[in-house]
Amino acid sequence: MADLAMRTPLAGHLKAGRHGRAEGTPGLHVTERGHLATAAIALRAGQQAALAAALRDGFGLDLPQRPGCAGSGAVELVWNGPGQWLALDSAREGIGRFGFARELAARLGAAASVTDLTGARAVLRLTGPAVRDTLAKLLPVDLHESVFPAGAATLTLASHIGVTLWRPDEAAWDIACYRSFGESLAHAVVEAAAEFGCEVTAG
Amino acid sequence: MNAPQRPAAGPASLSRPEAPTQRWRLKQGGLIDRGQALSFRFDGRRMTGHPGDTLASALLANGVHLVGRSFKYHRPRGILSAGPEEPNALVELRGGARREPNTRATQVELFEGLEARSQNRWPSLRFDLAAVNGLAAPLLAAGFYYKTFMWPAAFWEKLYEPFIRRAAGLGRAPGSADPDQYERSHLHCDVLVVGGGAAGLMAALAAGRAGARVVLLEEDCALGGRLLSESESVDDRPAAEWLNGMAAELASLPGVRVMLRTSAFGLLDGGVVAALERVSDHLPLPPPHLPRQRYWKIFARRVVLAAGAIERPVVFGGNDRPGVMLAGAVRSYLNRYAVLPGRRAVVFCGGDEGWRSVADLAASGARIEAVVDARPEVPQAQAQLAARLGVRLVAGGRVLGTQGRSRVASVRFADAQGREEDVGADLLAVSGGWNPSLHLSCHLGGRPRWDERIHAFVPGDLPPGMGVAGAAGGQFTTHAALAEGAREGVAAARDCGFPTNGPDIPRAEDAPRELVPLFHVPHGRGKAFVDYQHDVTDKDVALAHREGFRSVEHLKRYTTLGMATDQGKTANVTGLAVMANITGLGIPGTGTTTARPPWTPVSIGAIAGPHRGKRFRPARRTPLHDWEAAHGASFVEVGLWYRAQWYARPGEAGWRDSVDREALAVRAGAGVCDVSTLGKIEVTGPDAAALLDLAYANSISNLAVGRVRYGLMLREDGFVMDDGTVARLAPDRFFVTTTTVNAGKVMQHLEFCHQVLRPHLDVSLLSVTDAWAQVSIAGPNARKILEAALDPGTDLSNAALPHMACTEVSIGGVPTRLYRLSFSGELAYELGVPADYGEATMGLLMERGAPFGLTPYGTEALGVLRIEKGHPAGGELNGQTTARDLGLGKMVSQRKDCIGRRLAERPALIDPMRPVLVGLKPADGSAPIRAGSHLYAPGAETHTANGLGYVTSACFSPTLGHPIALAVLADGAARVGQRIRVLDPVRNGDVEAEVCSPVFVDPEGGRPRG
Amino acid sequence: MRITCPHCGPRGNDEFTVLGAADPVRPGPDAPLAGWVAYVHERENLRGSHRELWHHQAGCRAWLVVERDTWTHAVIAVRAAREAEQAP
Repeated sequence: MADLAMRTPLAGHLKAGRHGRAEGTPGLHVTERGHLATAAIALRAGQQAALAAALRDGFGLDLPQRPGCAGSGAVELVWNGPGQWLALDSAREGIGRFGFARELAARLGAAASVTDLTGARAVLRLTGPAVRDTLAKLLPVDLHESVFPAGAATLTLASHIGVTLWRPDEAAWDIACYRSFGESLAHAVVEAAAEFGCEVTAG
Repeated sequence: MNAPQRPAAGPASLSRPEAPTQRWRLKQGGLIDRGQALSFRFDGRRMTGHPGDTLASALLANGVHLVGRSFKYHRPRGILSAGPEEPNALVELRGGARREPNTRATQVELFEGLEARSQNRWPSLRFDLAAVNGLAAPLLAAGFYYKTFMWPAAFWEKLYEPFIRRAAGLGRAPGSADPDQYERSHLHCDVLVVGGGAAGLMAALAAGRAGARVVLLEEDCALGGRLLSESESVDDRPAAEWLNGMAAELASLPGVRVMLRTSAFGLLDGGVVAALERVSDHLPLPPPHLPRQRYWKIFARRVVLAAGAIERPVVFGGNDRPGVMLAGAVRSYLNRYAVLPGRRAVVFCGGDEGWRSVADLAASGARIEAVVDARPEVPQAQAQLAARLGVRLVAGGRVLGTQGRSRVASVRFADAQGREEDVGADLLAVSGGWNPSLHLSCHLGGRPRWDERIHAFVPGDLPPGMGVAGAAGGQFTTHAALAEGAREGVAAARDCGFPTNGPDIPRAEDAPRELVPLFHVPHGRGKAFVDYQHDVTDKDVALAHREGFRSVEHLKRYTTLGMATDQGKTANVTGLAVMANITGLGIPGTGTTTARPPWTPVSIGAIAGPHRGKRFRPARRTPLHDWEAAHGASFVEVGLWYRAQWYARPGEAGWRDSVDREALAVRAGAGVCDVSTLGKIEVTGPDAAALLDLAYANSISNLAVGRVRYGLMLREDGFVMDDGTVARLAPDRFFVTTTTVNAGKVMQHLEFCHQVLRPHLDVSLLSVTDAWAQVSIAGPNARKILEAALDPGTDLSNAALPHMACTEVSIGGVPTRLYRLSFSGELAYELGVPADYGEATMGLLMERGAPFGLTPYGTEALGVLRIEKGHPAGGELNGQTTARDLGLGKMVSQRKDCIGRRLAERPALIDPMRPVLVGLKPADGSAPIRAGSHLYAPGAETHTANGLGYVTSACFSPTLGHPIALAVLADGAARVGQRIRVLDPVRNGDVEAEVCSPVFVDPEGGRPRG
Repeated sequence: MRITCPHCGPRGNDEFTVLGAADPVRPGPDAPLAGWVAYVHERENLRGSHRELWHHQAGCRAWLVVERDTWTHAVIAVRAAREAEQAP
């Protein structure tokens, strides 16, 4: 059997190192979350309570009913439209990631349809004091703490690219787009942060 | 931090010698930094100024009053104002690729090394040959370009247009690409305050103290508005001191953001405010990593409009001569910039405002030759001031004209009895009253209201969420500005859920502003300008009226009044007043001037922001992109995607060599093509089949699990929308593909079918385009290659995986989908690998496929293969063809409701004479046929009515060795074997072709089943 | 123009695409052709309040019924089409 090397969506397209302003501490840190097991969950009619219960029992996750995200251990849920969620698992590796959607499907049963999306999204993790000012240059959503606290999520356009943005915790901001747009999005983020100094680390 | 620092008159600044060029600089005062000299050039002449100067104030300090020539008549022009309304002092700033024409010298902050040039003059500013246009003035009157240059038509291009372009115009655009960066950004707040004068500062303070998120925009480089220009005190302290305190407190409030050099230039639908921040315009070059300008979209729950007011010039003869200046601008130059704009002044005013300049000029040492006040009765306070200063007061007077070559040398006026007199003067300060800067209140359609009290328009019905404070609302005293600012700030904060009592109102001047209407002095000496920048005079307005252009909107368009880059800030209301004089209907009866965005010119660079060059639009790349680039691919843009078009090999002379080789390799052995860009949608749920039955013309619900079907999608009007394949992976799970370009449209359409037409269906749609690296492996050797590459134990026999079947396989343990379907007409498979493993899979396929001649092929060879096979694609799915036209009419199921079925039955769409799909081959066996050519019966006259169809796709067939084409042809089936004329008049193509079946290769269709 | 998406909140119109009038009802499969032609092609060009279908394409991908004033561009009401249809 062949042994296939994997390639993350942004491998080769997100140059590690300091970009933009070279002096002082960087305003933005960027790293790729390139190894996530990813799946889409689609709610089946009348199964809202069953789905919420299955996710709580199986993964300890509270299903966000409106734009938002939830996490428990290595597994995260991000609202992705009415009746749709992205599920992410950062604990699995390589081809082991394809077991995530299978496990989800088994646990959720008739409550939802699960589709494996591993590798289908480019995901950037942004941290640092200039995250909000950088993102303000890219997307039109109010990111003030009072409006977009940890646990918030939104779907919007960033620099003409459809994105999902969420805050898994106080410090981190994750932004995801279709894999094919990844290079353009990464470029836009790094360019927008040039004013503040941008440190890219390999994911 | 943001307020001006009045430099301390300490020994340091006293000891430094004043720059010798600044002979008109006052010895003291002003908000300039005398401790530092900045050198700059105007028309090559070297001069100096100080930080805090504008280019205009520095020019005046150096005694330069003549700064440009006018648009049509090339008349000498000077500096009229001290702000964004400036219509005359327009210069070219900087040089080379950064050259910027039509820059208002009154807004350009002086920096070291600044280079500016006057515009619209030749050969020099002082001696301008085109000033002869002034003599040809009758030709250039209102509407001149509609009349003078009409006839003969042939003269337009050769004579008239070059003449107009040379004679009339403003600056020169730079000849090369802008080297600077521009940005766009977004801001969100509770309260947006537009204007950082007395009113705006109080509004921001009130709302900020209440805890609201506040953004304060100030167009100037300093907070304060008119307070920077007036010799006033606030709270018994000099205004500048009070401003410093305000700035410090605003800076200390965490929810308040003050943005200087930022103009709110538009109120957009939904209450969004567009603003332009001039980040680096005040610097010689933008600092590293900073843009030159930033375009902000600001989302505010409440807006306080505190944009101040603009002083109005008066229309009288010679009112454009350098040395004629707005009275308020005179005070700006005296008080803010410490520049004496003239030594012998006449003041011409319609009320109390002009007298403030009398006092300040006198205090600065200028001699006041006369005050011409239009009021027959001048209030006692002003009369006493005149007496105290020994100034001649001409009550009820009018200025009739000015004399002087390139600057005012004398002023002619008439007193109340009509006695005329000339008085020597080098400065004429004019005040016709003030127009509130209500522009933002009009941008969503609000109509201003005429206010008889101030003889000006004030905001009428306000857009939702907007309040107005201070001069923008027609309240001109400092006290009123402070009080209204606080009131509006409190109201806005309260509306956002931040109740507050608001700050105490500081003590400030509250003197009356009496004013009589003073717009126009008819029958004066010389041209009397209404719109300086567009050279529109009172006579032009009268002419427009005589010729029937009486509505304000017609007046504007006919005379171009108010349509220059200043958007008529100083012209619109006076123009209306001149028209009202003629109509006799009064100003409100004559019309209303309104305002559209932008308030101030916005560069195209700022509007484009970062979206140029590489970021003009995002690019989509497949997981195999880098592999393809490394293997010699040329790429073609398909929508946002980059697709490998062909792979050039050494020794190949041109693209045709590569494409022919790739296509032949597929027919002879095997090829591999990246089809990841095809739209892919996963349709899940118990009602998935029901939704697809509605969306597709053919039946989907009877498709067995593990089988694939060609799917044809119609628009509701009966024409073909898209085609693709539908694979049933499970009873409640389908995987459908679309063409690359229609992927988004089809997804949206399916969502429409579900959410709008069939909301009760339990079905979900998910785009999985980016999840899969998908390749087509086509050719007689395709099965052998897959058997060598897939994990052991995969059965690819016809029995296990027949044509139009699908299954799950694995490569290196990676779960992979395999669909047996063919676009090329050969034995073919599509392999879907999770995107992370696409590149490695491609490497493996090439390695295992090498013994079988596996050749990567691009979209061109793909196109050749499908044309040879007669499969419809982009050229045929052009929005004008029906299923029947493409020979697919039998696919439209008559047993179910589906989108487009009913309207495809319209008589015109089933007319036997409708063009249908056929093949064409050149009658001589070699002449190329081009897509887009029109088809005619041989010998028929070639006009539209005789057209029989057109060529949809064409290529050279390497398999057959001659050109082939697909076409739609009227009564096509009956014409097979006949000759047809293929006419391409655009590219001089005229060949004869033989009509044939559209399937050129393997017409029996045995190969894909092999 | 700003549309308040019932799921995502207020957004600029660059996130949406408009289809057109929301009120025409799709005829039954065997309805006369005239009814189908009216459904697909015949539209009023209204000044004032108008119900339209908009798609939050660059957001939650919900089809929305947007009631807006074609004269002032004011958005009067927004509902998700699916919920509007499913309401009793």
